[in-house]
Amino acid sequence: MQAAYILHARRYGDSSLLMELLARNSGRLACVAKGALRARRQQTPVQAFQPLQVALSGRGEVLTLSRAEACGHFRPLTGRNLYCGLYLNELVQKLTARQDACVALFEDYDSAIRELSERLPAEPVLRRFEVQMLRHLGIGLLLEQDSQGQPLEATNRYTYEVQTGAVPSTENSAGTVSGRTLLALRQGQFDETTTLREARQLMRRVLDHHLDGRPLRSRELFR
Amino acid sequence: MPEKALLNELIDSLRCLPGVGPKSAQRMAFHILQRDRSGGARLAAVLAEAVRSIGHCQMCRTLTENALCELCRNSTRDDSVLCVVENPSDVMALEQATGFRGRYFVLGGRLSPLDGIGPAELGMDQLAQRLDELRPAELILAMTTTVEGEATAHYVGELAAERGVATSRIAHGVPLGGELEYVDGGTLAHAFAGRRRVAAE
Repeated sequence: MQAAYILHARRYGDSSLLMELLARNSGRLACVAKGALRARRQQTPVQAFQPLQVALSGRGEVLTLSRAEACGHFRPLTGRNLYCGLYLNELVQKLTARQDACVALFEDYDSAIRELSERLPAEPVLRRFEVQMLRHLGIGLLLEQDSQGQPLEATNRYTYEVQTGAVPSTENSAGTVSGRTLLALRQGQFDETTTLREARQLMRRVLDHHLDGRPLRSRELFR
Repeated sequence: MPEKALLNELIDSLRCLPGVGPKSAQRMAFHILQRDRSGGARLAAVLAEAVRSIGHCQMCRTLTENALCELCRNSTRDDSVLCVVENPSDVMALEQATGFRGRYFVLGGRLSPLDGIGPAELGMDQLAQRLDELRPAELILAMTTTVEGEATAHYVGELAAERGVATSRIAHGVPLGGELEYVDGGTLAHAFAGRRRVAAE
């Protein structure tokens, strides 16, 4: 058994579900839960955001879910935080490769979901997860120093480029980001609304770059 | 074996129906060809006609062969209550099981970003427009209790809140005739939180 979350489930045949899981030891994977929809076999929990313990069998691209148990206290996500949860699932689904195990990614996902279920302010949770996830995937933001090798200064402004990192900028124009925001992203601490706004815009640009033109449909939910 | 091509195509086509695997598709095909050719011809004609002329109601988006469905044309229904459901089959289920006399709106699915279903696919604009025209006193959310159903309910609830329309959700809880110890934890928690005061005689 290992810890896992359901990222997505859809009907498969009459009574089965085809699921995409994020498992602690195996990474993201596809599996079939046979008979999960059959009446009165509701013992298998089939909801996303519920921490599970699962046992998988089989080989190849699509495994078989042989057992799944809910574990730990589960508080369902509600309202906007539910949209945020769907957003995280879409990010993981679209950016990670299948069966590329990464325990740290699972742990970060797990704590993000817990924080969302505790109704903490969602934005810092999302930004922290995005930064950590990109780091685990080996495409993390370059936040240690600026493009000239100098330490980032909170009061400076930078143009952030995905390949080169933070390039010092003399302008205070729309495309630039403050050193304070870059440092906040590095530390995962966001104290000001301007920092959060800049962080959101920057991460959106970086994620769009890595998504390579594929849209994130969950963004449409936020109005 | 080219002479079997048409038969195989029939068997293959029958498999688009839910619950029909290769074995049952084969049985159906042989039944039609050996024992009930007239039934088969009728099925083919009706199926072609249905697929061609059944569309969506302009007002509530349910399935109908007319511009407006029967329920929307019925002037005795109560315009002050609007019930939002996921599928046309839900309308039928509610009509049969409840004495609901209000109006419906059928989304035709639920919000599911990973399946590529967003607000536009579900006609949320049309629902907003309907809310503006109808100005109902109450909006009833009758969604499934999956994560996607919850997200859909929240989205519709936001649309209603922006327009000052009071919103309620159908209750979820212990099924009739169900024993508490067999009800899963989530349902039981919902049922407990949504308990109702028992009216005194």
